[in-house]
Amino acid sequence: MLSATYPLPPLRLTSPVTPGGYLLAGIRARPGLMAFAAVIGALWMLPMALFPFVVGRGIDAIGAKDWPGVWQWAAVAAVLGVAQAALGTLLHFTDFGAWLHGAGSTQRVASAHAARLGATLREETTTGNVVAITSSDLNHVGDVYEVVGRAFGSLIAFVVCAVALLNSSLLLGVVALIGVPLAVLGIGPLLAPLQKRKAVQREDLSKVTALGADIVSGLRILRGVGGEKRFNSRFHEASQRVRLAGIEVGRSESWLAGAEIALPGLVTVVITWLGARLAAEGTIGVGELVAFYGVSAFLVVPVTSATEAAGALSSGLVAARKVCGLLNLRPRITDPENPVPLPEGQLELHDSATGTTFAAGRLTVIDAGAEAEALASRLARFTEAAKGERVLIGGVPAEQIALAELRARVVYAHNQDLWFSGVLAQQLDPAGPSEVGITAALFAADAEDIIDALPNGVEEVIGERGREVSGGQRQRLNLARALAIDADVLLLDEPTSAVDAHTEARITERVARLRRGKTTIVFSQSPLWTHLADEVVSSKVPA
Amino acid sequence: MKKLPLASTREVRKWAVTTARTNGREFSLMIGTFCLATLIGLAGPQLLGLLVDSVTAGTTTGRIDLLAGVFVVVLLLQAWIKRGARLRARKFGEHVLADTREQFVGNALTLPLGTVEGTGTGDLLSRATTDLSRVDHAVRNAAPEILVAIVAVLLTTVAMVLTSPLLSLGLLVAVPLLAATTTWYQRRVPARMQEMLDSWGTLQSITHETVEGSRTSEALGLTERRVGFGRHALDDALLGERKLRALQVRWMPSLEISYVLPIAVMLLLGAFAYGQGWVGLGTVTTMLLYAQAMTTPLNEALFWLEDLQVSLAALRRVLGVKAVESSSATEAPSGRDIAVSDVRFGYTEGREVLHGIDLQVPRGERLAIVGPSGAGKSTLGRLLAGISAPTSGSIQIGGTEVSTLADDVLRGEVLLLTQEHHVFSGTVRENLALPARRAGGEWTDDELRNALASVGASAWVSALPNGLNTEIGSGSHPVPAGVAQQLALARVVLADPHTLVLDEATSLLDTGSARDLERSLSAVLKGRTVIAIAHRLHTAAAADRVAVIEAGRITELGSHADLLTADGPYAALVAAAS
Repeated sequence: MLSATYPLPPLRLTSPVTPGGYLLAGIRARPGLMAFAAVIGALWMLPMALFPFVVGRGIDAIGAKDWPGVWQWAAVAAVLGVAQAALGTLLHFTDFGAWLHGAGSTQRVASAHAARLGATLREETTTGNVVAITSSDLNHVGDVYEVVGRAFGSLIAFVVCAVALLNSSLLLGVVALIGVPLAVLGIGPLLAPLQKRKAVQREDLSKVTALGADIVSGLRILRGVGGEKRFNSRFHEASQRVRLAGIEVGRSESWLAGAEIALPGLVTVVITWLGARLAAEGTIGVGELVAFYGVSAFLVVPVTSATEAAGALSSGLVAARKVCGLLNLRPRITDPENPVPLPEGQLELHDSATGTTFAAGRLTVIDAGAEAEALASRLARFTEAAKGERVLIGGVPAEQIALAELRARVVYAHNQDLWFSGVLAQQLDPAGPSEVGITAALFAADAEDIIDALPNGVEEVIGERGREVSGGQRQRLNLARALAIDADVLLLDEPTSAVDAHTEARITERVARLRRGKTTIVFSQSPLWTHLADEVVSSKVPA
Repeated sequence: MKKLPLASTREVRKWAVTTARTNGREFSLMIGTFCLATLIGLAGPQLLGLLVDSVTAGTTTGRIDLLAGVFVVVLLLQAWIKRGARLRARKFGEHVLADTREQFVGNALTLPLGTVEGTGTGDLLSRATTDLSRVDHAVRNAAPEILVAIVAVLLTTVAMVLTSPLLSLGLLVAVPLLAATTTWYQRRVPARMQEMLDSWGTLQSITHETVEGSRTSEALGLTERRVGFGRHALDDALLGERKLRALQVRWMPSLEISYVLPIAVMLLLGAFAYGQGWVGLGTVTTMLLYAQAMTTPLNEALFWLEDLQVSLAALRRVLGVKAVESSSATEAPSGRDIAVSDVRFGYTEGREVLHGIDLQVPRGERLAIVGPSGAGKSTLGRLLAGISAPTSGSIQIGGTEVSTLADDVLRGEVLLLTQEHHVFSGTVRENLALPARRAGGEWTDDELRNALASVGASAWVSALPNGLNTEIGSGSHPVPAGVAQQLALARVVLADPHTLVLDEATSLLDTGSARDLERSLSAVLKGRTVIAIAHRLHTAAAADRVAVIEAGRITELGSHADLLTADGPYAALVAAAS
């Protein structure tokens, strides 16, 4: 039985990371696997390379009416066949493993990095870009690792064939040794324009994919107010651009397909022609002639493997560049070099720009008007204070506090915060230690009825953005989730704007009781909150 | 969350046949050139056979040179025709791909809103991205390679039978093995493939959500949990891949053996026939070379088969998004009064949310709907806006059933505005000019500017570097939530419906934006029938009438003053709020 997890050893990446460095890090993470793939790749090509010689010997034996010889060579051919089947299967297994390693590591590294960029992520890159990296570019990266075994095998097979040819005939061996690399080199110049056109098409393709994703993401709006035709024709235009770019790629590709037949084929013809002359002179046997023909025809395989490897590498580098572009992003809000620890106990918050102070351990309600979001973001250091201004948390300037500690102790819950698809309880349950249970938090947010109405209660699996529940219900669940964290400082922005007055009255009273003794800042204009506040900062804060 | 359907295998087959038929000329030309290229390639072993026979019989160098010359000509011809065949295949493939993608998006754009909301973005998104790229990859690479391989195998077999029927019998040893193992494999692979694709789809949805919710995760300390969640889903996807690999690894050996075995058998058969004097050494050579030549196309076919199968499964997901015929009533209703009678509705059978609603909303009225959350207010709003049809009962505007109105007509009558918004990547203009212009043609700059001005967004737009033509949305100029809502309102101004249903359109914004937006909103509401699902009671107080909904029923209906006097549920609500 297969184990549930696949080992993906961490990649040791430099900072900043380069595309080549990224691909190498993948090899260094599993050197054993990559070496094994190369060895199997080489072994796998050997039976194929030897096969023409065996068939040649068989034909010689037939020509000489050497029946035991025929039996013998037929048996050797069968044995080679079995060996090739075994090695071929093993190679497929290993190559597949290498692909899993490359693609899986890329998915893991890229999505984890994106997640850890946090609030910064959406400012620095697009959702579409991250999705493209973790769904399409990872394939190209995986392909680089997948091709390693076969590429190495090709090289070995080429050397083996050349040696075998040299042993039979110096002339033919030399022709093969020079001709085949020449044929590969001859194909080379066709690759550059192909790669350039492929890059153009990939660009167009990622645009059309992004457009498709955008249309699908905004489908509610398009189906709500209209614009389907307009977006349909935008998509049509983008899609046709991809088609035309694809045909350009096809032009380059078709030359390559032709050259892959013509160039190695010419080498085969020259070898066969020389061989036939030698055979006519009686220097070599008919069987050897057949073997030469077979070997030089076989040499097409290493040649195409080499071009395939070159193609995979160049696509892989393009993809790795995109991966590196994401991995080299750094959060805007950075950790201080020498963090100052926050004092124990309750924390007081101070914002110099507005001259506001929020008392430690108290429930403060503030009507900050249009400034609310900016002020809250500053207080929780989601944005930096302006030059010359500062935010003090427990007396410590915000930018001097380690981010992990700051985020753990100061929580800023926003109405735009999302719910993820999955089990509700897993999202209500706070990540850190908390003395507030889920039940108490749900009670304080007056959200118990929502849970009761769900068929499986808190164990219910909710969908993307928690769309199953209405906006007002979602707001109460948001509040419960924030309360359950039991943070030392909790900032709530309009936490009851979408609930009815009865419910709001219950919530304000219960939240005040639950948060007693802890710093709580509520941005609200509702009288129900101000009635219960320990402190009210009522005047509009000067901007 | 519901999933969108998959196309059945029959539908996929029908699609393939239709595609081949509608592009009949291109398709047959493509197949024809491939056959020609292969046929010419088959001359190689024949020429070598001739060489062998000539050498055995004793020959002149002149004849050898001549045969070599013919060899070169054949080779160049083959390369040239192969080039043409590849180009044709590419053109055909790109054409099919463009059609498939455009058809997918076209169909997605006809999905009813109810379906869109029911399935979530993730499912559609993975079809629009991963599945479409899988089909892309297969049509560009796997399909031509497999086509070439099939043509090559078929024609080579024919050539072998023609060259030596006796020696061709050697091929038969492979058939039982190949047939048995391939049947075994093919019977198991579709389910595994589907499982694997689904797990990649889930992984992608999770990544998408993680990215979209990155702020939430950071603020609430959920980041590491999301990373762990993603890792778990990745394990599932990789497990799916590995299960597939386990199947392949059991199937592959028989496949590889089955094309080497005939060569060994043919050596023996050849020796026997040569000994009997039935065939020449040249024929034996030709046949052995043909048998060897079959290895390469079979190998290629094997290599690409998996991609083709993956893409077939992906194609089922892509084709599963089918066009939905839109309603036929394209005539605008004559009146503007709304009449709701005995409306019942449930999202799932047996769980009714609305239990018989009767309501008349005369033209121009402001009606507030209040009540505890979860009472069915939003559901009623969605029915009034024609997003879902009632399970029973009727909702009419001016005597016409709302759910039968064509999209563009409906939007000119009634629109639902919620707090959810999406900024499209594109210019401000492209984000605004969504509603159909009644007079036809494009919206003028003045119209767009006026709409922006009426919702108070002029200042924001004029501060942009290129005004209406500034690129906004993810990756370009950022749009604050408040402005995104104003843009949504500006669209409503352009659509100009006589009735608006507001469902918490402003309630989830921060205080400042909500206030700005309420100002903008009042400009938009002027002169329209407004049905507002309200939480703020001052909205209700300002309304002409208030409907209180509790547990799926209207329990009170009347003006603010009347209801206060009645001292019922509404009065209790007002008392609680102050």
